Amino acid sequence: MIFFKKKKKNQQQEAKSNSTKGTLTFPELMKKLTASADFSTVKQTSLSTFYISYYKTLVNPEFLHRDLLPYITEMPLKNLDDIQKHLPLDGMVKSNDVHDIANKVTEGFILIQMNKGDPEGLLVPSLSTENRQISIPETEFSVVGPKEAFVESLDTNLNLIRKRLPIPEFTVKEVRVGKLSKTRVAIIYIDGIADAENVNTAIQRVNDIEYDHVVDSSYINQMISDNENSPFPQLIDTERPDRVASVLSEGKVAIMADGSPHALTGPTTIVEFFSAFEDYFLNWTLASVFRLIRLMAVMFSVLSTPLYVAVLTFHYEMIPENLLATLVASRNDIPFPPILEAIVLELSIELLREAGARLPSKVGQTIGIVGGIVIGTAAVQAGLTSNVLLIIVALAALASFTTPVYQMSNTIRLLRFPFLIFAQFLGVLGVAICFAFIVSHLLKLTSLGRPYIAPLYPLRVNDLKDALIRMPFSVQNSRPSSVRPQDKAKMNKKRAKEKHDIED
Amino acid sequence: MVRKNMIIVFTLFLLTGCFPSKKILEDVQLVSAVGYDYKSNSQVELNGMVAIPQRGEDVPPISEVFTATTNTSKMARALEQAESPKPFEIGRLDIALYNHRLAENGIYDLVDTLQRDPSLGRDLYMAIVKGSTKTLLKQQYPLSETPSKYLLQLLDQNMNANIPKSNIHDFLYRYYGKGMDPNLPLIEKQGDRIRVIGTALLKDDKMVGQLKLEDSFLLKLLMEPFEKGIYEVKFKNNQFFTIQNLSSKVEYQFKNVKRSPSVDISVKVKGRVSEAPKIPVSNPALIEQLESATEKAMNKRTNKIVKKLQKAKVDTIGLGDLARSRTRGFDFKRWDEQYPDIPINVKVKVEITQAGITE
Repeated sequence: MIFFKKKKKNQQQEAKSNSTKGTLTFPELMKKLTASADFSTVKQTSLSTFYISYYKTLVNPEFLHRDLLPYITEMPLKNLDDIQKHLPLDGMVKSNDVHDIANKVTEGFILIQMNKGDPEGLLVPSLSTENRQISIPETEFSVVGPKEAFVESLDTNLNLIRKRLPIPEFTVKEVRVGKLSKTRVAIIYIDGIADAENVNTAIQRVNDIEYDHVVDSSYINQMISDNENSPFPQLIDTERPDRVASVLSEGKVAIMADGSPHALTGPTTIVEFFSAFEDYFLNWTLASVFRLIRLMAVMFSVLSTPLYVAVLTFHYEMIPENLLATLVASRNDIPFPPILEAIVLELSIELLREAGARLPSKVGQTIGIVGGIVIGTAAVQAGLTSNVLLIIVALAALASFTTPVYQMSNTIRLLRFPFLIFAQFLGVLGVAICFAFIVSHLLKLTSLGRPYIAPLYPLRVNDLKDALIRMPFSVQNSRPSSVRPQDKAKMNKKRAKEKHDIED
Repeated sequence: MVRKNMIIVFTLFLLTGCFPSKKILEDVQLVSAVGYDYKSNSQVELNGMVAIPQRGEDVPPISEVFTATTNTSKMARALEQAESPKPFEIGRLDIALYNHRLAENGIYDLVDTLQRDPSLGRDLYMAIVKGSTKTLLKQQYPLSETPSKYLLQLLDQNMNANIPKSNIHDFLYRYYGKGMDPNLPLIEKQGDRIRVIGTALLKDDKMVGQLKLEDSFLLKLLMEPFEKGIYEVKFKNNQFFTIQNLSSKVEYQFKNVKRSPSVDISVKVKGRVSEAPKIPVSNPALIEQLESATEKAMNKRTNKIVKKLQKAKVDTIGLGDLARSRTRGFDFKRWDEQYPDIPINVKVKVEITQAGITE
């Protein structure tokens, strides 16, 4: 115990010394910068003399030669103010703060100075961004509906959302996160709809992130989640701008990081993880049935193998008369007890999935077929597994992929292992106990401080119309109350119910 | 905190002895039928039939019978265990058979052991066998994979149509309940078939009489509403027709229960003429004649059955219990004394609704 305390103290001291280190003089900065091979300082002597310093790999050369140099070389300019006046560009900053200059130059600004040693300089933004084209969403593909997915540039992503919500209330708060990466993180919400407390929680948690580099929004997802030890994701991550726009209009908050093609939305509830955005593109009857099927698939995926193990190990009485002979016959030659059989098969399915995910897509497909069919039949013929379990495991694996949110499907795949262990020790009673553990964990879980299984507990009858089933749009007249929206009504209830018949 | 968690984890290891014992499906021998045979007044022969699944998908299981003779059935199981490769489990028991001689001496002690077993379901079928249960269980029947499956399907099917419903739950309910007596199906092995030959009437746990199959159908009419079964009626000279029961309903009326009780049982049968050679059934006038003929035949027969029950002092219909449920301050002793002489009047009303699609 004492040992741990000491270590903590040391860390605190280190942190302090880090933060006080920041005094830097201008020559020191220039020395640091020029140590890099791609940093160049050019002396311009035409009508007047300048020094232009920039990272060759960061600034846009076309911009430099076409839009900047012609203006300042063809005119007699005496000082930085003169330049600022004559340049038809925005975002220029005159600064004599060394840290400011250091930050801006490393972000892609061009530094213009009159004399080489001057502590003062004009900073002209000229970031060249290499962007991927906007492409089709891959993990959340839908047959109908928009086919745009986020890319790695925050500005492009914001553009994709903003054009879906062209209102002044659409607000973006920007925070920089990560000591080294200085990642731009945007917290997005609709002012007047989103609850101020939710927004503040999100902003505060993002601000509090203490890490050296934040590469992706999934880093943020883990860092700001309410319970980082929970296997359940507490924020939805999505690559669909249309989904983000609709979630924002419900009064939720979205968080996006530069360099990440995924947005995080919250506060979220568990039922949202089982609703695909495509549900809104289908008729409500179809969408509701599909949602229920998905929910049953989840239950099946989590419980089928544990129940198989429990019933075969403890409760042979439960097996239906007509299934008994089939089960005994298929189990007769197998040398393993049901639990080992189940774990081996589950792990081999996971193996296949991992191999499929790591390999290039074309090879991955082949591996899937080879693994699934060849190894499966071979294992049954060799008498290592029963074909009944093979069917159950394969179906359970299939069922786990029906969950529309990728992170949740991972959780579901993992969740069956504790169930399996409990089933082995205590039978169906064990399954029930494990289920009780999971439910109590879910009850305690929060998302941005809001209850995680909200429409179910605490019961929000009003929210249930877009939870396990999706009611028609004409009934969806209020925003989910579990996120405490400032403006509760989505629309005028009366006018929405009226039939607008075309009359002559 | 860390230490506390460690202690909790380590105490969990101490609990490993508390886990329930495992009964893995293929490591136990599932007994699917048991038969009890009479040996002597104190000894019973227990025959346990097990189905042993065979390798391969389309190979039917082989049935084997283990036999032992002892005074108590659990001890017999222990003796049978001595020659079985796997431990016996009776949780999947489908049917319990009792030799009729044994049944005449009382079967409660043998049922009691089944009743106490928590692994047994309450939907276990029981039946009384004319002849040895051992030879019945040992036979391979071409109609089904194993004798137990054959018996299960046989009784299941017949209880819908021909004989009163009865399983271990009903048996015990009627055994313990006052003012009613249990009944069990009566079966017999005939060559390579098993045949339901009627209903065994029990007084408490002793078999005291039997009804043949046609009478069992009528007894069923008196006991419960149901929707199947066929009855043959004689119509004029040498003409016969059969009535198929489409739905039946039974109502009881008790009069003057406290002093000199009398009972009216009215049965309503909706039926269909399913076969009538030489009778032009499409004639509506004739239908009425058919109805009255059926009513007459059924009335005669059911009243005979009721008389028979009264004579044997068995209340298979459960009239005592029905009377009790309708009478304040009901006296069972008096009722039991009076029962053989109570006027019980059965009235069957038949309504022929159709005569098939050719109509």
